[in-house]
Amino acid sequence: MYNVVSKTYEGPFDILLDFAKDDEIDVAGIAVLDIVENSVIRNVDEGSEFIVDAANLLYMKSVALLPKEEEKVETQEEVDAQKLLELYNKMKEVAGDLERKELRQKDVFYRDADRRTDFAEEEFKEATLYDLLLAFKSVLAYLPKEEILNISREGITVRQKINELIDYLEVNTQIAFIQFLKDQKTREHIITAFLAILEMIKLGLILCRHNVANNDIFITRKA
Amino acid sequence: MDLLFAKSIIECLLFVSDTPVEVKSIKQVLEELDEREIRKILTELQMDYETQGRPLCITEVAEGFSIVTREQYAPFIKKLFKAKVTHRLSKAALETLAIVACKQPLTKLEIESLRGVSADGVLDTLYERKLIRIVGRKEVIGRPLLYGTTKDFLQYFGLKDLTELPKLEEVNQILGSQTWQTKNGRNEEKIKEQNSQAPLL
Repeated sequence: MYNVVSKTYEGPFDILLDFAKDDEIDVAGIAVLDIVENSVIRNVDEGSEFIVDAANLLYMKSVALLPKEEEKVETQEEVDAQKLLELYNKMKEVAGDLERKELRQKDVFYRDADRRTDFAEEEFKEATLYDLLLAFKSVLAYLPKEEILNISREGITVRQKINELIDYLEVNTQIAFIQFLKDQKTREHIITAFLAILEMIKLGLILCRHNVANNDIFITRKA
Repeated sequence: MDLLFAKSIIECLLFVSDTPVEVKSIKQVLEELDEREIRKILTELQMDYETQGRPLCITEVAEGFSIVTREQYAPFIKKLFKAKVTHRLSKAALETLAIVACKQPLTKLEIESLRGVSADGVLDTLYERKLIRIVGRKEVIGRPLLYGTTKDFLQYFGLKDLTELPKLEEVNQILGSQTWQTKNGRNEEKIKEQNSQAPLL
């Protein structure tokens, strides 16, 4: 390892190069001539090392001395990225604006929608067999007592009742389950009508919708 | 129709509605009045509430009118409805919402390209809180969903309508670039046309 001596620096050559690389000293200010003149080279190894280091220094110095290239023209992508960033910042502004509005709105109260669910749209769900049975029982209980004593001879079939219901639903969009049973003349009719309804549900011809709010069951045709 | 009577009817309509009532809806009730007259009555009603120093006021919000409480009574109302206080939106949610609001309709990818992070969770939250909705699908490969804001969004922030927010065109103008487009934004015009016709879900 050998030292170089110049007006601005004295020390190992490779450390000088490191400094120059890291911009810790101004390469342009180092006189190469000084270094060459003041260096003492004792053998071939040192000589070759010196030539490499000097060449590196020369290269760095030439880069530093040459006029800088024109500012690089921004590519479309860079412009896009910049716009994107500006747009994002703008959005941040809007977000801040929204936040202030949100805070202010926290003190403004509207009528409470939750309280009014009772008046909201009627909510229907498909009636279960249990719902139907319950309604059926209520109709049976509603029958006058003496009806029970009547023994009817006419044969009423489930098929008849199915046709009856289909005919009715041809004209009307829906019928109340209880109403349909109450319209039946006798207990026998009621039971047959009920069986007809169950059969039609099984066949997928009708739908029994149960209004959760007031417990009404409606029969509608299945589309 | 007697204007005083009409005014009372409108006040009733505002009272019973838990969502802002549109002028259009009022017109359906008061057929003989035109929208300009209804607006005039609403303004009068607003003034009445103002001058009589009532604790309530009529505010124009979410493309309609609503009776709301005045801000100074908030502390007392909050005492009664302790459980009803909802969580405020996170910074990420607000930013995403701002992007959706200004640039709608747009896809998740477009939101993400602007924010630089995944928008999945945030979009779910906003959707759950009914602040954004799906307005259609973009006619590009993969037909991604397009998002837009809801009326609830307007009400949540107390906005009359979307014009209170800067539109994308305005934003672009501020940036001084008419030519700039997002990478996926080239079909924007086409999509707007399609959206105005029908929801593409």
